[in-house]
Amino acid sequence: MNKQSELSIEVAKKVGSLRDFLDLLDSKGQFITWPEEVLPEPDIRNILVAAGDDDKFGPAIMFDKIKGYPGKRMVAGVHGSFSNIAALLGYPLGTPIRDLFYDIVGRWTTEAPQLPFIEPDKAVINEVRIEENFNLFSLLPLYRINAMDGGFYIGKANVVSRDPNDPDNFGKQNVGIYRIQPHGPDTFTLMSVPVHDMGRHMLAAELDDVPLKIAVMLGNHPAMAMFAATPVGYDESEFAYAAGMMGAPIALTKSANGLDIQADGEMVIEAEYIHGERQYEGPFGEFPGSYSGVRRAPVFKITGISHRKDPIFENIYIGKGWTEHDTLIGLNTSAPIYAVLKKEFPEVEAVNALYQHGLTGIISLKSRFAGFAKSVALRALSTPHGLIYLKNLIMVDADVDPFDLNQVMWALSVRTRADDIMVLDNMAGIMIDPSAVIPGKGHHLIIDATTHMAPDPIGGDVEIVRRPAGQEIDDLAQLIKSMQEEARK
Amino acid sequence: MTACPRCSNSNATVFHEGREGEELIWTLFGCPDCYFHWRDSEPAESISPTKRKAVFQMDTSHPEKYQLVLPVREES
Ligand SMILES: [Zn+2]
Repeated sequence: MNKQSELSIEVAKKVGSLRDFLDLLDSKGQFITWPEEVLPEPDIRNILVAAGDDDKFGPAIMFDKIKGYPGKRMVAGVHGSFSNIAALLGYPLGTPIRDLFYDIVGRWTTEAPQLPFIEPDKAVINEVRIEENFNLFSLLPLYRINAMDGGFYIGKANVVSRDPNDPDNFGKQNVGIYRIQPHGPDTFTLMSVPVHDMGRHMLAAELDDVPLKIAVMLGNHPAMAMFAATPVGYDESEFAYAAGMMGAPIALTKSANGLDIQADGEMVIEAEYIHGERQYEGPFGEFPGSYSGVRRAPVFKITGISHRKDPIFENIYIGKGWTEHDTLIGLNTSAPIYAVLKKEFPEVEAVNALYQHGLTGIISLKSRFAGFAKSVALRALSTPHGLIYLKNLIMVDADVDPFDLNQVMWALSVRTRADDIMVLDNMAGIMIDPSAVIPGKGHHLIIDATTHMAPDPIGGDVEIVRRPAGQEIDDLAQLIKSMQEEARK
Repeated sequence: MTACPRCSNSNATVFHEGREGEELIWTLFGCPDCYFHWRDSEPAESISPTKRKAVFQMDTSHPEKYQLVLPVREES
């Protein structure tokens, strides 16, 4: 069961939609409305890069004076800092990342998700209905996210699709974040490869010549946005995970083309896959901090659009880190790796896979004997995410907080030898690692920075300086801070 | 018809005009050949054919140079 606190349930009950979450962020000083007029380019990306640099306290930013888009509203940075995530989970701003990690791990459940159904004619997402004359370029305040992107991307849509051969299976209904490039007024490409659930649905539809209908949800519940980017099992529902984590309801309704969507979302774009059609897509500045090149991607045609009155277009800045993408998916990337490992190795303490979607990860554990950490590392590489993402993996002891890089560097400095490094070459890798010689292939590097143990004859018995810790030290730190504030006056 | 800053074909058309009241602020174009979209108010590094880095230009006469994201099933 979900192990969340009463307070966090109270918070979760108040957050049923993006708008509710923006109100919550506003009440905590984590939301600003940009006061000046902005041009779509380069103003929006400049502001979002500057805000995104502050991974601890960066606010969500609303733009409602975008030149040439009178009356349109766009928001980004909603998941732009760990304080925004803390607010969603019912914690104070500035809560350490490690605490947020353990909180999310404790909530990792799909048991008894609260997913009430709202009839479509009562769902606020259907306040405005468009059935013809679609034009994405006038409907949404689109802008070029990075200067050399091939178009005006939608970077934070949650896309719902169903297995075309098992269309009544709620679990096999997939919700994922796939980058979307509007192509025509009523067409767009969607970047999904065969290993994605969505890619599987497209291939299956083509093979059996059956239609594939999708719902592109914009402006979603903040927990949905986190889980749409989380690797969950093929037959598990992202809606169930999101509602399970919140411990509070997320209302669903049906889109006009028959998919489950959020009833309180800002907008849904209904579309159908055009079999066999591929169009140039990209480049797009991706999470490794480099552009993925032009490729030929599948195409969808819009069949209907519903939205709330005065809809908010939620988008994301993504590129060379730190960006909102890193904060959005970081903890939800770390938690499932931890969950798999913990079952087989209870010695595992924490997993930090925050960096570039886990291209570099750090795992802490209570080592039992020499070489133990290396074997746990190898198991991490065979988790669903580790398989292609965990490129560099650092193993540390339980006395090191993997979310505190000063401590990780200490372990690297004093607990590694040349033979603690393993390089596994010619393994599976991600397509968009810019250092890959062959996209999709690469190395896994394991650095065992745990202390040396028996039967190793030397290293483990060094006397580590005992660092005073606990309440007394915390109180002293607080006292010093207040004395310093006094001295600055 | 307008020339595309990326593939230099001349088939681009207007997709949307951004206005404030009567005033035209920018025009948004789309190219039906390489699917580049741009606004005439953007910085030159994005929309000027001479300022854009060569690596970002496209030659649409060689589609085979661009990888398929999802394989297309061969008709049997
Ligand atoms: Zn072109």
